[in-house]
Amino acid sequence: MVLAARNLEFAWRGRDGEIKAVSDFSAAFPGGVPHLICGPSGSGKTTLGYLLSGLAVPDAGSVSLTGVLPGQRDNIAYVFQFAEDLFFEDTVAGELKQIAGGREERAHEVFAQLGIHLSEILAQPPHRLSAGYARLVAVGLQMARDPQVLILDEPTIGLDWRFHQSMAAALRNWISPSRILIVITHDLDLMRELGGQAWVVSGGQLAWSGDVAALLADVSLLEKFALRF
Amino acid sequence: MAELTASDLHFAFGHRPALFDGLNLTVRTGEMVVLWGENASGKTTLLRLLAGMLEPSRGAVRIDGTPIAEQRGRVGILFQNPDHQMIAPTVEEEIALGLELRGTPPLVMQPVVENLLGRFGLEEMRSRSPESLSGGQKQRVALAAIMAFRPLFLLFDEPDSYLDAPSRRDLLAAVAEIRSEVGMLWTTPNPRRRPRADRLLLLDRGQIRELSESELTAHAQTGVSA
Repeated sequence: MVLAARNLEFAWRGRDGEIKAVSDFSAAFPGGVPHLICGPSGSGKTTLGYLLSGLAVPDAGSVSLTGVLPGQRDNIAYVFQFAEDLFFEDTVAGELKQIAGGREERAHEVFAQLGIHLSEILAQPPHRLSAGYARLVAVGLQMARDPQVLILDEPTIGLDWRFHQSMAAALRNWISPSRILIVITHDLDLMRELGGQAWVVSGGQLAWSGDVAALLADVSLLEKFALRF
Repeated sequence: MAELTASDLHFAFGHRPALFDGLNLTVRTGEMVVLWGENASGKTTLLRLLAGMLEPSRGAVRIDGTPIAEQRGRVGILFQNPDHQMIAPTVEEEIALGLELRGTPPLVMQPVVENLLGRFGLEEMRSRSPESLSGGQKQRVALAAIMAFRPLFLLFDEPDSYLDAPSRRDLLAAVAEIRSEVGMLWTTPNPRRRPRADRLLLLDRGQIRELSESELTAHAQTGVSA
């Protein structure tokens, strides 16, 4: 299974005029290996995530999921950067039912990997969870759906050391040849822990791609793309 | 020098177990205090109590002995997501908004806004929509808008969590600019990423503990419980 982007073009249009966000972007994201999209702030990473997930329609170019068996519908999940803002049910149990209804057992398994006892938070209002914890819950609920493609926008922001580790481990476990994981991130620790394929975006274009380990080992590349703290 | 003090704070959400059960904390103007706490340790709730946005069930928050409820404008909060505190159509209007709502006359307000645009390096983007700015630029606008109120204390709720390296440097430079004027409390879930601090605190199981640099470094490798 491969998510393929071909010659994507996209501009945001608003009161400040037109802002070109993605330009001539092509890439193939196969399953079985983590894909990490990184690059400086404002480089078009999040817009690219919207295009890959179908949340935004490109001005030109296309996104397709190949290798899907007949009868299998496209199933792409996207977790926003501040996903906790999107909870709307009264309880975590309500969110679970909405997002991963009928997959409760799988949800308990995924949450255990994330270091959360799901049963302990089911009765809680999701908006009362602390921000970092709520983000983790949002990611866990989408993972429990086992979509064919899971796209996460900065999933580790605001996570403490313990949850950072469990998130990386859970994501590693989640990947399979029939599941595609794409993570938008500027978190070098997460990149180090996940490994896989790096896609560096700059000015809306693909500026570099290759092995994550090679990117992390190249200080000049990290500095060039504002990845080094 | 002014002091923001929390004495014997008790707080719980509804019927849930107490988050704070007699917490004490002091921040003085001119100092940067970094508060480390793991996810769900109560950092954001503590900041809201300190700003007077929540009321403790027991104990009090005061500035130099006066209850916080009587001087809320003296404590500003910079949230993790700056989009949560921006509503005006342009950067300039965003900075002026708070003063305008307080009925500040334009003749008084305009020089204040001009000064803040200059201090925080925002002059060139004054007519832009805050929405179109990068994370670091947005945090600078939010900081300038808070400083329009001339607060004595600034509370930072993990403000650099989602910033990339240049944006983070941008925010830290803005913070350095005002460092001597206010007392700052900066929360983080990750002690490896923090600004230069005068004091390091740990929030753990509802209590505050002061940590030395070496204790924090040791903890940072393994988490709070080690």
